[in-house]
Amino acid sequence: MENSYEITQVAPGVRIYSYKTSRFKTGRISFNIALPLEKDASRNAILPYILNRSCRDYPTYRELNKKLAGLYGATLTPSVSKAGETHVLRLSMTMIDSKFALDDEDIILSCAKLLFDIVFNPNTDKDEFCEAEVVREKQLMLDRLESEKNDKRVYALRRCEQIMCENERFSSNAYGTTDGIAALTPKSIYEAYKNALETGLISVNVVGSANADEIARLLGEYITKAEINRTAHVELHTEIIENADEIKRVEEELPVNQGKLVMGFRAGMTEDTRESEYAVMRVMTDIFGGGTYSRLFMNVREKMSLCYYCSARLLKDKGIIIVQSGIENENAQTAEKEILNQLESLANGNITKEDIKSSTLALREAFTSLNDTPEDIDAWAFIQLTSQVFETPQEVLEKIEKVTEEQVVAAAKRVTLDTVYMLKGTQEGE
Amino acid sequence: MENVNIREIKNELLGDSYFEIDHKSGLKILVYPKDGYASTYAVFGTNYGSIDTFIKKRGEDAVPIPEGTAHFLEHKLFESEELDAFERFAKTGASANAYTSFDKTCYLFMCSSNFEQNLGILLDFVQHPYFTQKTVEKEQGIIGQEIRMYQDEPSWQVLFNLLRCLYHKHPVNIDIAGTAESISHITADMLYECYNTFYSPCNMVLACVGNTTVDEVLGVVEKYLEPKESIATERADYGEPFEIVSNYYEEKLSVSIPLFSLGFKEHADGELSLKDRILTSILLEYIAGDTSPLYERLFSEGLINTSFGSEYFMGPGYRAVLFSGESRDPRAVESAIKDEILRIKRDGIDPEDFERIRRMHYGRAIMDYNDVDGLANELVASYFEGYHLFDEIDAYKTITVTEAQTRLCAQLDVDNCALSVIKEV
Repeated sequence: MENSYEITQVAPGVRIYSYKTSRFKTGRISFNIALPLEKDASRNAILPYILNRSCRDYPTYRELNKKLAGLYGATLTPSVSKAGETHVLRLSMTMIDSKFALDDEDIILSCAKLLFDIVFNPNTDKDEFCEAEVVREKQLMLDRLESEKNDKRVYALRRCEQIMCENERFSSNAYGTTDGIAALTPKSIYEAYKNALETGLISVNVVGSANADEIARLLGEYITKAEINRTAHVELHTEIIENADEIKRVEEELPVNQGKLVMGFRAGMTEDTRESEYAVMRVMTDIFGGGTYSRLFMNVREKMSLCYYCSARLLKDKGIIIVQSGIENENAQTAEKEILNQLESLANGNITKEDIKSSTLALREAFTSLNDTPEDIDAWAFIQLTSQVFETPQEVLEKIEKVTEEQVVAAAKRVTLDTVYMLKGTQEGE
Repeated sequence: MENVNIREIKNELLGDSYFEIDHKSGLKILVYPKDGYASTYAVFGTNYGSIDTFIKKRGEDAVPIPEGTAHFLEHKLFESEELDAFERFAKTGASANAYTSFDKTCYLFMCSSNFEQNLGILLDFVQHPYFTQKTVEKEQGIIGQEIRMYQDEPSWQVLFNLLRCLYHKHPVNIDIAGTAESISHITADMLYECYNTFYSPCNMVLACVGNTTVDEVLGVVEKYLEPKESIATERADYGEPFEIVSNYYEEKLSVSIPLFSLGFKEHADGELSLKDRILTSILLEYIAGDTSPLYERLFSEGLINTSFGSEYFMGPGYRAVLFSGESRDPRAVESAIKDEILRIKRDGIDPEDFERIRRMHYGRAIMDYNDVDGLANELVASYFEGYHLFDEIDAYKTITVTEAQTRLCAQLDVDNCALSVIKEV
């Protein structure tokens, strides 16, 4: 059916999420593997990046890029991310719709083949990845890990996550660790690769005019030929801590101009209520620190003029809320106090119908526009990968629109402060 | 509609059309309906950005204004004596924003319902400035923090350090937001003066893309656009010489891997044709894109990582080719790029590689026609730059390898370039 999501089971734990439509100029295909986030995520984190460099038919990065250029500049992008304590490895492609090809080639199907070649027929020598590629990719992984420090917003956020979730797997960096990356070998990466394909929860998302049945059949063939032994996928589980006990405080210094304040809260969700409470928590977080109508924007920025940005974000898979702001060192206490005041004010019932309306209207807009780009449609299927039940944006929106003031107040009451991280700038201002 | 001239601009290949409307007020309106889309994206922009550090009305002397005024004005226009623009959009759900670049200031929103109401708010708030000394002072605190944030962004600093190496006088070498010092001189009166000069309909454009129609847009424009005197302004001649200021600058910041930006300055007088722009983008791919031998070599030697890229950086009075990325040895990257430019200038361009890159760029150009936000912003940019949106996709069909060769010889002067580096503290 046109313009709706369809799910096809290809093998145990391997699904195709397709969304057929003719309204775009492009198509989109992504290959996603979900695995438990390991304490040291290095061996899995490197996989999409090393696969992205070559395959048996195109054994160098340059050869592979030439092939992509010939496919009208199709893009191939590797990435890793965390969804709670699930590690998601991803390779995604965007290509022109086949109708624009100059020689009647079915571009989307050609790209699907190339993507499956990259995943199932890597440039390996028996049971090992190519030594030279491994050496180079390890350095690039270290660079990626190091580069996060260049962006102080990301750096401060990572530090807060690490401190807050010190004894939870969530504290792992999705890129791995310096030592873990250094210890990787052509053989250990190959073992991780085999394990990922055999035990990971896999989805291939297809958006555009492509024939998804044909892609499903192709995927089945690749799995068979590569002798991937699929039974059931590994169990994916995220520990959720409902409430914080005592507040952890860490202050660090770096030679930068602007200080960064990051506050981590436990959202009062549990593993059982994580999906049912999502809509309420989403609206609460949005009113607290989402759009320009939110309490944090209106007060910490507009009224008190303390910062350029101050916002709150719900990490639904982990049941935590993160507040971030860039401020002068000497304003840290004032800002922290005001952020907590705003939360307390919500918990005390200081909320109107207008607040709910602003938030649900903005969320309605955000969810409705999710079907306007192939990338967003793919991303929606992607974030649903580990959910128990697949929901469409429309279905989630319906729940959001039923949220009441009382529910938001009750949700705000359950939020507890866990960690306050302050990155102090030691650079003298100009 | 009376007094409006509507032209449909079609592209057979894409199967799309947009409409160009000359409104009687002097405002240019561009409407690009997209079938099957839920959302609409609207941009209301003025041809006034950070490089406009002077008010110059036609026939009058140039009057200097503080650096960062265009950006400051952008922040302040959201305010009003009653409900500010953000509060008004909160009642409709639209997400609104604004940005200031070197040469323009744009206000925008995206929505999937209440389009007419939202467009009314956009037109209304941009036409009704409200500044007081008190609100100006409040904004100095917020923008002061925005400036501080950018001072800690190595990629931003490496670019502006480079621009200060390349440009003597052209204000592209100053930060878009200005400095804490420069914005401290901004007053409410100054903002009104800039507003009245640069925000006249003949200096502005409205672009709407997505789930909308010409009639719908014009209906709202008729209702909300108020007559206003059109003031003709000119961009100052900055008297920028061809030569660079200095060929190297280094700064220490808290970074893990050094960042670099290598810029080749060009003459920037006369019109730059769209064809020459496209040829340059193909040349950059040919010289240093991820299908090039140079990229393969630098990459396998560990001299660059995946952050490496190139761009043609140009606007009113400035043109330069930039290569940027992270490297532990920026000097080695610089010399490899220069050597490769000289080699290709000497050996010529391989026709087969040229064809492949042409095909790649043709595909990438088509890919740009999906997103309503990208298209609306591109409609505004192409209008201010003096060409039609679809011209680009057509230009890919006609360019030749000989033209690319000629273009290469006219740019990328290895004796007129500078390297900016950010090293770890």
